[in-house]
Amino acid sequence: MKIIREVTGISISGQLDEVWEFDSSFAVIPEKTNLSEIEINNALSKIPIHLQNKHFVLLTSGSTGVPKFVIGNKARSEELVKVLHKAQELEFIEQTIVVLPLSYSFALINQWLWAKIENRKLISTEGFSNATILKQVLDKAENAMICLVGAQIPLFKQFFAEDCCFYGVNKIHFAGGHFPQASLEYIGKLFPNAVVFNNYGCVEAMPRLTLRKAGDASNASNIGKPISGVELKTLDENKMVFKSPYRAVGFVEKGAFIALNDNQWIPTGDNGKVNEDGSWTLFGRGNEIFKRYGEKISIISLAESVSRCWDGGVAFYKVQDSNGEQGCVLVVSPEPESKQWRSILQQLRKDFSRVHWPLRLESVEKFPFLSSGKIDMQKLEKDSEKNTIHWRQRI
Amino acid sequence: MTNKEKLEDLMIDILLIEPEEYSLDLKREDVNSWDSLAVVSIAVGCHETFGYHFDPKEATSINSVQDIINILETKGIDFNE
Repeated sequence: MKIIREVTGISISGQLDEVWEFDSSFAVIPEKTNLSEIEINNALSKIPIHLQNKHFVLLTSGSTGVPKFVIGNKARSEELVKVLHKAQELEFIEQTIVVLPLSYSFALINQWLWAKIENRKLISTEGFSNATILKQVLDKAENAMICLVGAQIPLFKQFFAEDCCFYGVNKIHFAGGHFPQASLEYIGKLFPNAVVFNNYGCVEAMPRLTLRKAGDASNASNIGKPISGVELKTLDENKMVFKSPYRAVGFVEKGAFIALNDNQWIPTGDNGKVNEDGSWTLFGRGNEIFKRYGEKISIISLAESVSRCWDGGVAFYKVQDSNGEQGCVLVVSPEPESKQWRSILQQLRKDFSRVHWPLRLESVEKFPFLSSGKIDMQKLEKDSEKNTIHWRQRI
Repeated sequence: MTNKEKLEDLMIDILLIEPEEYSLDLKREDVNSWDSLAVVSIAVGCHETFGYHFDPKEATSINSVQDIINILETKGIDFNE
């Protein structure tokens, strides 16, 4: 099986163009991986023979940190792109500007494959690894679309001047975590001509399940309605599961191949509920909801509250308090001024009873990021002793 | 810093209230963030700040700033500086 490795500064789009046309399957490996060549080859050798053609493999570590080789089907993904294209009432888009690494399923399907099928010009960047080039590309954009994750919005504020404006970007798709609903005004100033979409999915969905225009709902946790062909429902405790004709066909995890079948309800890893209008509200990852002194705590709700008064980045990691009860620590970035962190706490007090409040408010100058653009939570938690502590509950 | 000022800072920090919301007459019923978990935080905070650890009976009897002062004064911590 052909293996494509991402390397900073070198676009893999040309290699993808080539291997997508071949019958034989291929694998895309992100630059940042702890797996050795042998471990990767061992995992790929577990993929059944009937999937060694007309498929592709993406390596993801997801939120659990356990490496997972997820297998997608080329024809299904092409079909998904056509459905997305139709669903988004797209005006004429000429360019796709790549800000996220193409080893990330969202970027591969929503950017590279979509550009390929619709014959759009694909312009590669290194994202915020080279913000100067990114700005030059965005300045010259014409009828362009970009895909972002919410955690990148603070980076725009950090790297680009306040009056910066990119008129040539017409579509922006967000996925991969908390949708930056509270930053829509800023996004509107930065990209005055762009229509913004909230995409929701998971790598097993390869990758999209629902979609909404930013303006169609007022809260970040509304992820819109399932796209054509996708079914969503909940099991116990609001655990979301899906069926999709575009989904992955299986994955290799911990040395074993696991098939995903047509009749199987597949967990998205999130909890949520369906709304009266058919749209869905996300409560967060299964592990982002926990009980504390009998109360159900939702990290996504806390994040929404914080984002009402804080423009920077927000992350949470979990800890136990002195009574052994589960709690969380709020980390913001960049370092807030005293007035700012106080207003964050005031907002939390206004929106929640004390049991929901984080056990500490910490800050870092810069979050550690994964190659997908998401915050590297494992590293953030591991290095937490370096964080600045602004406030703590004495419990 | 006087003990009164130390207690004021502590209560503002624990209850997440604004300085103007604080007074020596502040009672538990006046502040929605003064709940049972806040009582634990107040006990821990007083131990850190004044070196005295409330026993459980004392901690649960606290319903106002004045109650805290009264208990601490019986332990020789002066609030009339």
